[in-house]
Formats: sequence, structure tokens, C-alpha cells
Amino acid sequence: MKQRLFGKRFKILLGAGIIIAMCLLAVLAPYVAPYDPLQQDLLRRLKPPFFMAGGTVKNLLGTDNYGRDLLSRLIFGTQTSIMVGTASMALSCILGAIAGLIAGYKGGRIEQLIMRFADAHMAFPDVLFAIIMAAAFGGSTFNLILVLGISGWMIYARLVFGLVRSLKYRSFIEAAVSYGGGDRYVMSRHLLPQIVPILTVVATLQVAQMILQEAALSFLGLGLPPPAPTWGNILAEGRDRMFGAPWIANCAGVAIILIVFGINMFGNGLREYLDPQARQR
Amino acid sequence: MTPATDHELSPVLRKRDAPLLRVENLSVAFHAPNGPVRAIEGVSFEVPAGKVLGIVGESGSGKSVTALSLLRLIPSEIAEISSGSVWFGGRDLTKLPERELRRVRGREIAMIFQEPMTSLNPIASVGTQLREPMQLHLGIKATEASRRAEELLDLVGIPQPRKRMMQYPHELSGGMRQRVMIAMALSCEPKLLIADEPTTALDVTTQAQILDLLRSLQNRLGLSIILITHDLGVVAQFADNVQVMYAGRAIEQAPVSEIFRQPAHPYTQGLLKIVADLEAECERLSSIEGTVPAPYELPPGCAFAPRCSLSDTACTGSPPPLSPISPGRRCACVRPAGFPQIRASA
Repeated sequence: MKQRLFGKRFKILLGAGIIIAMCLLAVLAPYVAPYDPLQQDLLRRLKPPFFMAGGTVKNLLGTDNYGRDLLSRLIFGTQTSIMVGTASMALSCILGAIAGLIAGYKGGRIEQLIMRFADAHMAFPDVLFAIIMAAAFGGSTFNLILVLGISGWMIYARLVFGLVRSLKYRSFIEAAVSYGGGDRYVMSRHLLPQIVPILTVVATLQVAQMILQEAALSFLGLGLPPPAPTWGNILAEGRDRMFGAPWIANCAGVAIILIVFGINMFGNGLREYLDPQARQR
Repeated sequence: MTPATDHELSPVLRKRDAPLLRVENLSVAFHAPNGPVRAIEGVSFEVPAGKVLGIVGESGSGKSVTALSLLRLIPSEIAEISSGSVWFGGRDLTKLPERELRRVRGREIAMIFQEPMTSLNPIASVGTQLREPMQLHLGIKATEASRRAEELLDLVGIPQPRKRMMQYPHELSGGMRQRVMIAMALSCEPKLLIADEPTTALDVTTQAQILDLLRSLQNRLGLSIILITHDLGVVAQFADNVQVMYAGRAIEQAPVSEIFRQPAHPYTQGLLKIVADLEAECERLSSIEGTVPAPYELPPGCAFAPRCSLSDTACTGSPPPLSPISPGRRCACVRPAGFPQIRASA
């Protein structure tokens, strides 16, 4: 029994556990968080967490420069991270899968157009694109999702393109065409179901990438504007006081590491679980 | 054997009972880096309603390309129909818009393929796949389609249809899968069935069963079939007419009874001699020396000339046309065996 728990599904269980805990925190943030994340208390600024000298249980993870409770801010930060991470993953996954399906199935000039555009986009730095978007439209959750979603589509497009190319000449696809299936029918009913398992794994791992990118953009000041409690913002605020109040940056860092670790565990576990060759071992 | 006297008869006949499918001068070229490569050239044949046409030839003779290009199933980035027409139901399928052609595929002309192992979608149940052509073409509801799918499975001799509908392709044997493919092909009651080597991937006993099934379905439903195969035995059992292909051209067309009795083209003779040797159990099997020339290195004259024991200078000029040698028979040879020489006067 013990061996089974730590066997092949261990990664999935561990990853899912972390993800579910984080999601619960995000959903229940208003009830779980001990304080309002924006409430300042200048008399209690820069208090260390309870486990450091001078810390109290009143602020479990201490307070920041404005006396805001760090734990509350981190809990509310999960909301932004998870929402932006999954929504932008979904956006880039849909865009990329459609582009890859069409390019791979249609071939010819359409393929050249889509895939060369993807290559060109690959060469274009995401951060530069984010700066342009943030400068043009300002920082908001929606814009953040848009920027991250659009900057990630090529990965899916290339993946799906390759898979579709290898599936395209399989007999059952030819058979579907031979009994009168149109392009959209063949793509949606025969090609897409074949690639969904692989797409799921990549999409899962991509959520972690998106969360990291979101934190990076917030850190650079290109995400949600400062008072908003996002992990990137907390990290950026903590950077100024790396030595005076190291817990601010470190706690945000640990939160990011934890969720990325959880998602990667889950994604890799899923890949091993869905891979028939690995499953037999 | 009566010699060919009435060459003018065939157009008259053609008008009287119009064939279901008429292919005229069909050529297909594959795109290659050094320019187009002819896969088939100037192929013409007819399939009368309710008859079975067998197309025989070695690998690379163009028989599968012929079958696939009837429904324009070769992607345009790989090959294109460079000339010719495919007349079916008063329409030229080579010029039909894609949208209308889709309504012919599966509805009026259905196909079954060589590999029953891979021709079914591995992640969809048998029932789902059987329903799909009907839902695409007949616009019927899923429940009605399910009912018909069960009937079809019963028709192709699959026991316990209801249980099979819920199974996945990997749970079925090769013969079963081919039966499912046949059921799918027949689901919209097509007029013509193109069977591209339907028994090649099956073992011998299953082959016989599938052929029996096709035969009985053909009789019962009055279906026309184009049967593509490299197995002369299958043709002998099953076909009404035969077209022999070599290096992308039709070299002989004849009713099945006559071609086995008196093959006219040296290549056909060679093929039949091999079968005869197998039956006679002789020490050493005869073979036709050499291989089919690749499409990009065809000789200027008759493509079979380099392997033909009868070839001479008359064979090397230009490819001999497929000409009538007796009623209902055509042959592309300068001197068809047992028939008057067609080029003698020309």
C-alpha cells in the first residue's frame, strides 16, 4: 500500500494536492486571509514573521513597508496568479491549437504563412511585446492575460502542427475524407481528439510558465499596478529591502516556487501516466 | 475467337446503356523537385451498373493512384490530375467543386482501404464511426443512425452487433475490422464501391470470407465495384471485367473469362504463366525478368518492352495505344497474341 502511494501516481497526487490547496486559497481568500491585503498600518510596518526574532503571531509572515499583512497579500496574490496563469494558458492553447491544426492539415501556402509567422513571433522578445501592450493599454488583468496568451501560442502551434503532420496520412484520416468528411469535420472529430492528451500535458506545464511570466512582468512593473497584491509586486517591493526585511521577497519567492513545483509535478506525473510506454514499466 | 471487325460498335453500345462510371484519358502527375512525374497516363475505362471491374497490376503500376484520383483523394500538394475526366451521374468529378464532391464521397461512391488495422480511428467506438457517414450525408438523428448501424453490422455478418457497437477497433480482429469498414462504406447506400486491395492485409481464410461477403452484398444490393488487387485469383473469382495496368498505363482490358483463356498482352501472359506454374507445381517458378520502371525513367516506347521477350524496334518508338482487338477487348501492344496486329496498317 505504501509502495503504491509513492509509486507512479505519487507525482500526480502531490502536484494535485498543492494545486488544489492553492486554488482553495484563491477562492476562499476573503475568508481565509486574516487582514485586508490593502489595509496599511504604519505603526506595525516591517514586522518580521513569527519564527524570527521580534515576530508575533498577529502577523504570521510579518508585514511590509506599509504595515500590510504579508500573509494576506500572498493569499490574495494566488487569485491573480492562478487566474492569469490558467486564462492565458487557455487563450494561447486555443489560438495555437487552431493555428497548428490548420497549418498541419491544410499544408501548402497556409502552412508557410502560419508557421513562418510563428517563427517570426518566436524571435520577438515577449517582454518587449508586454512593454508595448502595457504602454498602449495600461496594466490590467485582462491585458495581462491577452499579452501572455498571445505571446505563448507558438509553442502549441508547433506542437500541434507536428502531431497533425504525422497523423494526416494515417489511414483513418484518409478514410474520413473518403466518406465525405470536410476539413472542419476531420480536424475537429478525428485530429483534435488524437492530440488532446499530449496537449493537456503541455498545457498543464505551461500554466506554471505563465505564472512565472506573470510574476516577472509584475516584478518589472508591467503587470497590475502596485497596490494590487500580486506575487510579482510583492517580490518587487521586497527587492528594495532585501537585507532589512528579507522575508518579504523570500515569502513571495517561496509561494511562486511552491505553485510552479506543484504544477510541474502534476504535469510530469500526467505525462508519465498517459504515456503508454512509461506506464508499462 | 472472332477477330475485331466492328470497332464502331462500342460508341453505340455506350449510348444505349450508359455506364455508371466512365473514366476518360485520366492522367495524374506527382509533384517532384525535378518537375511533375506521371503516375498514371491516359487511363480510360468504364464500370457498368451492377458490374465488378478488377484492376490488377504490380506495386507501382498506378492502380491505387487511379482509385484515389477518382474521388480526388490525393492531396493537391502531392499530386494533381493533369488531364482527363471522370464521369459519374452526368457530372465530371475532376471539375466538381470540393463542396459538391464531398457529397459524392461516401454517399454515392464509397471506398474501403487496404489496412483495416489503421483505417478505423483508434479512439472512437465502432458505433460512433459507423454513425458518422450517415450523420454527415443523410442528416438523420443519432438514435436512427444507431439502429441502422446495428442493421449494417448484421448485414456484414458481425454477430452481437449491439455489443460490437460499443467496442473499440483494437478489440476487433482484422477481418472484423474490414467488415466494419465495409459496413461503413455501405451505410449511405452508395452506387459504386471502390475496394483498394481489401483483402491484402488479411490472412487467407479471412480473405475468402471477406470476398464472399463482398460478392453476396454485390448481388444483393446491385452494387458496382471497382476491385483493386494484385491477386489474379481474387479477380478470377470476383470480377466481371479486368483492366491490367503496367507503369501507369492500362495495357489490357477484357471480360474476365476471356483474359484467363487468352491473354493478349505479353505482360498479362507473363502474369498468368506464374499463376499456372504455381498450380502445376513445377520445380522452378517462372518470373518476368526485371522490375517495373520508375515513373521518371520510363522508356520512350512501350514501358514493358525492356522486359518483353517479343520486343523489337516497333516497340521502342512511342507507347502503343490501348486499341480494340475484339468486341469488348482492348490491348496496348503492337502484336497482341492471337489477334491481328493493330499497327500493321498504320
